[in-house]
Amino acid sequence: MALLEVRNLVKHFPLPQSRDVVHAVNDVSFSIEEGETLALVGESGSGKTTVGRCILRLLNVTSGEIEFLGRPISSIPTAEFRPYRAEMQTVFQEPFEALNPRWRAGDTIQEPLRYQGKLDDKARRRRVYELLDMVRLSSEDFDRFPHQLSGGQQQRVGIARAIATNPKLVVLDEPTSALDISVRAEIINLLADLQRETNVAYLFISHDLTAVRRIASRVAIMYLGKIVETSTTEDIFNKQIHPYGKALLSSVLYPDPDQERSTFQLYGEIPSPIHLPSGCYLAPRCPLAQERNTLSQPPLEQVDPQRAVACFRWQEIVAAGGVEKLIGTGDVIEEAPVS
Amino acid sequence: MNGKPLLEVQGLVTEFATFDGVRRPVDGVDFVIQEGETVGLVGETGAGKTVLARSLIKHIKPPGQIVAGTVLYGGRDILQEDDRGIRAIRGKEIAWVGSNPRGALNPVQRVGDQLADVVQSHSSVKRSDAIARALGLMRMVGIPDPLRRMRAYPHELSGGMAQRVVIAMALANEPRLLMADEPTFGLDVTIQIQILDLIKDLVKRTSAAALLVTRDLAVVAHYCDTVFVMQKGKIVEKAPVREFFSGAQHPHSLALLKAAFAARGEEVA
Amino acid sequence: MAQPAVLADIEGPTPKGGLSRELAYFWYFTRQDRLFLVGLVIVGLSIFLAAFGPYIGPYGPQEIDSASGVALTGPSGDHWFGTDNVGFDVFSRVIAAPRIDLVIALASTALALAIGVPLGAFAGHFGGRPGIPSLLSEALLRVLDVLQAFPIFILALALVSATGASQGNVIAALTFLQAPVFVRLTRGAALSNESKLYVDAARCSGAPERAVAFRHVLPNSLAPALIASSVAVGQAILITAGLSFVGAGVPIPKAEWGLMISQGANQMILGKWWPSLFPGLFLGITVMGYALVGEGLRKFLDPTNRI
Repeated sequence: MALLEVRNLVKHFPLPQSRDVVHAVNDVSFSIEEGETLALVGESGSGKTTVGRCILRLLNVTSGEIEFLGRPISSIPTAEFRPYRAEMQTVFQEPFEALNPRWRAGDTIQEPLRYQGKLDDKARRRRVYELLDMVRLSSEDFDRFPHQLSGGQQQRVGIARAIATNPKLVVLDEPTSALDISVRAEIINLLADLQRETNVAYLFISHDLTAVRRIASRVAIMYLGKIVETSTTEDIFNKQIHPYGKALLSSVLYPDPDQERSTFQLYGEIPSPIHLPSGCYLAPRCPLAQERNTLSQPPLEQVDPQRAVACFRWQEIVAAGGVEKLIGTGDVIEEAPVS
Repeated sequence: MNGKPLLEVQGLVTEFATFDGVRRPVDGVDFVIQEGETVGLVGETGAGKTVLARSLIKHIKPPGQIVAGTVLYGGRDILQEDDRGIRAIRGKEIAWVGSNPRGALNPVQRVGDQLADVVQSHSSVKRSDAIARALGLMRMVGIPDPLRRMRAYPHELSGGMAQRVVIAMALANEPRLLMADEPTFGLDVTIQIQILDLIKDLVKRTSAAALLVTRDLAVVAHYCDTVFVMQKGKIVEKAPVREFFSGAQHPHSLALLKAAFAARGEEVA
Repeated sequence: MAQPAVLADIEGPTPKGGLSRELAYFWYFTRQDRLFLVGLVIVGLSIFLAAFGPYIGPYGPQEIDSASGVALTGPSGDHWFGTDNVGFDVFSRVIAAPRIDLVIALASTALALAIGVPLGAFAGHFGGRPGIPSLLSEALLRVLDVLQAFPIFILALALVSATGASQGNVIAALTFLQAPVFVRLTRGAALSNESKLYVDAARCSGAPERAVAFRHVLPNSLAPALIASSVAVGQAILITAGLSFVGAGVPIPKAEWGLMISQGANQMILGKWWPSLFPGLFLGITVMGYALVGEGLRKFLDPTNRI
């Protein structure tokens, strides 16, 4: 049984004073096993953060089902969901914003323990010192306020809070994006170490592909609220079948002047999730798109035991040996308006 | 690069008086930027990169103060110029692109008008000509449907589009030096590439020099000719980009490289 | 990064916290911001006068100097600010007046805070969500709209004339006038704090709604109202004086600035300017002092100014 099972998740936000709807998440399914890391990657507007917030019950789903520990959690009342909080924690992107500015680090870290109600005052303090040690902060940091800590230290406090109750799953929402590069590496290493020690599973939401490569066992690439390609991390970084996966991975720069840059690029920018393109969402930007791709949506099809891709032309791409080999075989489709 | 110095900086010191005493984010910096050269200024948060870049155009407000040094541009010391002299240099000779494009644009004015204003601010052309030039600039920075976008307000543009407009403004008067401070901060990876490619392409086309302030060595590797590594207010290493990545000398450079490779998921010796 | 790039560049080593550091920063800030210092001095003096003003003047506030015993003498060595139409010493009355004006202003502002802040926090916490509390908070806001649409002075006038002129009624009227401001400020702060990441983080930690409201949102929503309360004290002094001026405030012959200005106004046309001018000057300076302190506090508490 999977630890977390997300089935056909849909989340729409109605816009106030208008009949328009933001289609943030459009039919997403995936599962996470105990102790593994699934990375949800994509650019802003891909809906990856919304997926995380739905799982955490910070948002109610529009439709679809989320199962955690074998029980449905998306349809139960908030009060009934609260006991699950100890098993499912989160770390946010902006470490400073995620800490109450008036609380000392130690108080923030023990907050989940307090609501869990298993430990008394003394035991809680002991646990906090243990956690400070685990995230490599000093015991003096117990009494510091957020503004007295560096960005990296703030994020360590956030991580200590997340693992305080020994959760089975931690949703990591871009935990490194706001940090300096050297600090990023430290935080990623810390997360990997903690996973080894506690067998916690991560849902790693990020657009920082270098971090994804370091920590994730599987990757799901999202575009406009849909998963377009998913496989093991190795596979995804070696080869991308979906044109969007190709474009996304090609845009990763490495600190190497001799890195070969793919010439494959998409047109324009991600369209608004209010007015979604008809047919394949990528069609207006895709150099491979043909007339038929604008008529219906490609299903997520299993390419091999690991990999699934949502593209009508995946067989052609596999046969040709890569997306870039097929450049120029698309019909030139009028570019979608960007804003 | 033709080896002619464009900007020569000597002994630059900038201080800030703060509650905890006087700080020196720029603490004795010397360097030369050659004509047509793209320099990457790297360092971690707090190294003093932004204050250094701002000091070069005398854009330091109290409690900050430039206390020593010279910034020679075309035989003149920028730091000795009065407000009028500085205004003539900023935007015309040296242009600035920041990390927050929406903040750099006037939210209640259409972007086409703002661009035309910039064109007119440094040359006496008729409004209609300025608008025609603005349209050309929008096209040059790759904004699709530029005629319609001229009438857009900044909030109607995506972050990437807004940054393109800011770049168009910066390049409107064909500056000799473009300073870009984390120009892709907060933009998505695919958009980051587009913006950096655009800057590289335009700089090359106008044979201007560029100073790219960044925390990301990967950006330096792909878009710069020369690297300046900054640490605690000082430039600790200057090297051509290839030499830097194959044999950096300074311990801080090595630490930055190691972190960059670690982030990629590789170990370096 | 949450902070501007330049700030990041000039950041020093992580400082240790503590009250002594806060006080040190307060002192540093006060020396930097001269206007704040001026405001602090004025506020300090006004509080001193409220406590001791009636006792330190050369004459009692309602005492006729039997030696000279003349009404409407100009400023002199005996009577620095002259005497008024009754023969009271203007200087003694001017420095005794804070006893009434300031007590009214402080009491009404404190009451308004005590009423406005909890209501604002309630409206902010429940606003924009389905359910009865949300409807209640909407209704509250509409009532405030109506209240605030009235010209503030006319409303106070109506209130006081309906209930009679007395110190207590002026306090009640002012409380009624000031509370909506604090409701709105606190509601705004609470609304913005509700959408902060640390509130989400608290929910994810398993915090029940009660804990979210009282332990996270409310303590972080107090600052705007507290800052505004300094300006509000100045406003309250001004309105108190205004009410007394038109005869709807403190009754004659108490030493109160507005009343003194009003009493003296009749003599203005006769060229006897001193009974009105001096209380007017003190009134203006005091109101300004409280406004300066409010502005200074705002800057002091703003972390982005803190480099």
